[in-house]
Amino acid sequence: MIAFKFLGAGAVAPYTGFRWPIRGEWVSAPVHRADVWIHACRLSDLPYWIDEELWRMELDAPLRETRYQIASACGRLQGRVEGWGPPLARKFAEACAWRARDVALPGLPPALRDAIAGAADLSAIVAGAAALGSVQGAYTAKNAQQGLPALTSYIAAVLASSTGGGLGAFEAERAWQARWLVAQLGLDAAPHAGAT
Amino acid sequence: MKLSVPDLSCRELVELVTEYLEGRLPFDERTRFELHLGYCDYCRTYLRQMRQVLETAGELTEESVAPEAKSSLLAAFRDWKGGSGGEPT
Amino acid sequence: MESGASEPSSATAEERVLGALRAGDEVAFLALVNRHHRAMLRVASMYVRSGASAEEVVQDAWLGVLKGLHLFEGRSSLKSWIFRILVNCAKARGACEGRSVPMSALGDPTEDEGPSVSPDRFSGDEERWPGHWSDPPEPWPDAQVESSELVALVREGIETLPETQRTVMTLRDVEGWDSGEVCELLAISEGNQRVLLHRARSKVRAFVEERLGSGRPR
Repeated sequence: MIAFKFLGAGAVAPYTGFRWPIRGEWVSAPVHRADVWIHACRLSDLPYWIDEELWRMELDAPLRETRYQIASACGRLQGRVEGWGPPLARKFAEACAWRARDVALPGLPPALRDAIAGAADLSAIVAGAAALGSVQGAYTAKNAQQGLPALTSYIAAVLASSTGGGLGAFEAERAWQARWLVAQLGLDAAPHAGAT
Repeated sequence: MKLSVPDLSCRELVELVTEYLEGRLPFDERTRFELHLGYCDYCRTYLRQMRQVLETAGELTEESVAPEAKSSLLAAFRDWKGGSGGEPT
Repeated sequence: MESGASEPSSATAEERVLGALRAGDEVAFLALVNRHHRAMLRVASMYVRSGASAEEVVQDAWLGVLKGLHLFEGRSSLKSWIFRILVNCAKARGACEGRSVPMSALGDPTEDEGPSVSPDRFSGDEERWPGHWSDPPEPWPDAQVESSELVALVREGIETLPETQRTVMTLRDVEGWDSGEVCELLAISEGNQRVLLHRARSKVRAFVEERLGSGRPR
């Protein structure tokens, strides 16, 4: 089954430091040790695990599907998704920041709301928000400028949840982020796990 | 802001690092732990430093026995060898 | 690497050491003594008053090992057998010195030491993002991590630890014992052992951070 995996630079797993073989050799974990199985993303899971490199992965049965990831005892990398890199990551972060602004707008004090609603770009938002002391919008916009897609997308999803929609709203915002990524990267062209 | 999303705070995470490294976090908590690391560079740094500490500890070389202690142990071994100890070849 | 030769299990390696000892191999004996020296000193120190006493306890333990070697049947590992002898010698010496070692002397791991990172490094509950880093850790420079400087700092940091935390971290991280072996030796639960290890490592990390970043106001 085809899935996706985000890795750090050099195909290195970000938390364990495990160096994935990039020529497609199979990697396996003991079947009875589900806690060390290989984790990967279905399309809907992508926004939760953003990192420097995006790879296509083949996973062997048996698979275990959980809320935010899919796991298997056996997997191998099948190739880089070349479209994912710093320029698209930045574009993604900005898209999330604009969404965060839209969510935050109704809840802002009138003066700030007017200033931000009219802002044409992120710098104006940051300046406006910082001037009036609103941390939320400024934080998101500033991080987008530094190109931190994981953080910005997280904040946007949290903001969505804070207006009363809770976990459902959080996951809905993540689903929007996933659709954005899938569309931009053309990931729905081929058969894969978790087609939306 | 009250969080009703799958996550934990940095303050909570730093207390769970050892359990995580030992592979002892229950599945849900481990997912929350890793989801947090997904967006928090600071906690990634903290985890990396904890790993560096434990790995570096493993590089400490053997502590050598003091010369006098070594000679007296050797003497004891020879005694034992020549006495009741040692297998007949 | 010899082709076809498999990595010896620790059981076979122990059998070889035993065989060498019984054959009177001095080199093997000294190698075994060196191998366990640090750990034996650490464990002995938990029961006696001074470093000199601990050294003597270790000597006594080896004499006990030699005396009892012909009785060792291999029902436990050689290592755990040696350390059981060590603990018995240490307890006996501790009793002689008038230092009684009830379980509580090992330190109650459930005793609340407080959080392992100072709370003032995180944002407060009343803030926008409660519990997130407000004074985050900075990555340690590669040059220092890869050099002997880090090794020296970690060694020094371990020496500042309270007794039991120092022992657990020494056995687990310096000596490579697994958690089962440590729990068996110290007669503590897996959970307690983990708490002690966590506190130890956290303190050493903080020690290294302080020293690597000295000069910078926190």
